[in-house]
Amino acid sequence: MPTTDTTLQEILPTKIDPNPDNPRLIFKEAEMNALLESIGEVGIKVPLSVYRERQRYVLVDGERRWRCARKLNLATVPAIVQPKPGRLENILTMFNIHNVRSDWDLMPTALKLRDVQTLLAGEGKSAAAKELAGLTGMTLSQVRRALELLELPQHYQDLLLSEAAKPKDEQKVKVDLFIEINKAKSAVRRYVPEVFTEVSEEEFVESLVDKYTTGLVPSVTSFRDISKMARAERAGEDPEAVEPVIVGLIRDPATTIEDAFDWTVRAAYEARDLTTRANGLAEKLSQLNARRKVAPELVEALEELRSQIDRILRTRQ
Amino acid sequence: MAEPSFLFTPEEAQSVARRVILALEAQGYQCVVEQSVGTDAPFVPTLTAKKSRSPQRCIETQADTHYTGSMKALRNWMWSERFYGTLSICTSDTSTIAARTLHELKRDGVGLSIVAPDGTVSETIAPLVPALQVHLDPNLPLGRRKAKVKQLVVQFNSGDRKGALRDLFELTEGETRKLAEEASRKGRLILTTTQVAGADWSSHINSLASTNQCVNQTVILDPKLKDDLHSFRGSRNLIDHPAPNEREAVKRELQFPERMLMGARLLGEIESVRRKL
Repeated sequence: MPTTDTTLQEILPTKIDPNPDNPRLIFKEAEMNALLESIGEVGIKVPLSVYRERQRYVLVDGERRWRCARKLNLATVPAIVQPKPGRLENILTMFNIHNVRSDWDLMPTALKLRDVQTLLAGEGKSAAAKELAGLTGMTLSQVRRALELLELPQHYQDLLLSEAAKPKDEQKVKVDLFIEINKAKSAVRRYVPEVFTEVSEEEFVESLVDKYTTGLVPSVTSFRDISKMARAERAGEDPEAVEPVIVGLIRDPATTIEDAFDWTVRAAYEARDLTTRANGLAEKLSQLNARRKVAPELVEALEELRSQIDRILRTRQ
Repeated sequence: MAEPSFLFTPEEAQSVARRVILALEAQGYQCVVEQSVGTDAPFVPTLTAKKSRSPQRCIETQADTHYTGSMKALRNWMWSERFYGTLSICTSDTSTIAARTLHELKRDGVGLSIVAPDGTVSETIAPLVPALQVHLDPNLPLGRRKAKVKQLVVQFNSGDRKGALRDLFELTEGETRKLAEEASRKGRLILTTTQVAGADWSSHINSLASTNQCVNQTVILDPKLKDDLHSFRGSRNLIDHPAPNEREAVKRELQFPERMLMGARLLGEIESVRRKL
């Protein structure tokens, strides 16, 4: 409910500026067309929220309506003019109004989170991920992902910011790349820390980014195989055998993750996977009532399975 | 132009817009993004492109082709203003276009261009310039010439302006001669049909409006119609002589619609006079 300090006014859309603390809002064509048609027919029914800044106004809420008003060349728009908020209040308002977080690129959001951290620290308050999530309305995992980006070297942060300014289909390097590389790095740091006595963490990131941008890594999810290699022990492999391969992967620009995975743990992971499946199948089969009629297709499949099992067991003997 | 900065263009349409800007600039156009073409224009196209002596181009770039109500409002505004410019949709080659949309674009004189990934822009539907379009007054008494005049208007609106106007001059000249011949046959002119046949268009107009050459000094063409016919005849120079420069060519082209309407009106008036003979 507007307080006595707020007033409803008709304002020229050209006198309104977007909020500088609102990370880039992605506005899809279909959404815009729908809103344009609606506003074109009935006008803007819900006033925008703005605050005064010198001779102009700054948007607090209603960026989509304002963009449509500009597109429709409307002479004026209804707007509630409210007192200028403090910086922290302004940023938190932006976070809470734009609740559909998928509209924001993560890198600009991360930078805003850093501002919030700084302002909170200035007020002597905790700026941990949990507190940030509570204040901004973001989920804890989103906050953690954003904070991870702030640990990237500055040139990668700049790269992500410039990419965020482009339309999605033109972005070559996306946040997910660094999120996945960071996960791989954490796994290596935890399970095969010896790797980082041979290569630095910066070298690790640089090398993997290069492999991705040159097309040697087909997808960002391929980096998950590095984590699997680091956790070789889980698949019954020796982590010490994995370490030189990961170092080689980082140092040799031509080595692919797939190669390194094949050389180390692929067979072990496949064996583990088969064991799990075989155990599951054996349990299922033990529950099968032999006296009940069994479908001919199942009989045929079981016979094929038996012949494969016999073949493997014969070679073992 | 420097890297364009979009304020309210949806991001899917921005990459199309960038490619169109490059293509237009290669053709000598100056492009501006998100600028209104008039204070009361009901819609702001993504791009406006200007080139000296050419109609302004308003281009709405889209990832998916939609001829929206807002665009229709801009199209109607341009036509009501007799705007010297065109309106087009420019879309990517991956966009699907409904047959109905194609029909509506053609019907409304709105263009459609397709941008390929390599940046080449091909025009699928050529847009029309409202300022250069004419619409006939349906009440004009054109008699047996109605079908022919309608056909010339279609020819004019579809872009062959000089050809249509040239044919209209010839048609009006022929109708003036036929009026003079009929007046001679019915004894309203002192000239014989042979004398009429040997005279030119200017003489026909003068004779039909001359008290000395009309029987009982009763003129067949009133002085205003005479002046209008001479004025129309004089404007033949617009197409018969090449324009000295591009600026003059544009100036002349903008006079064509007015002359086209004038010619149709004069034909109607000649028909009215003929019926009263």
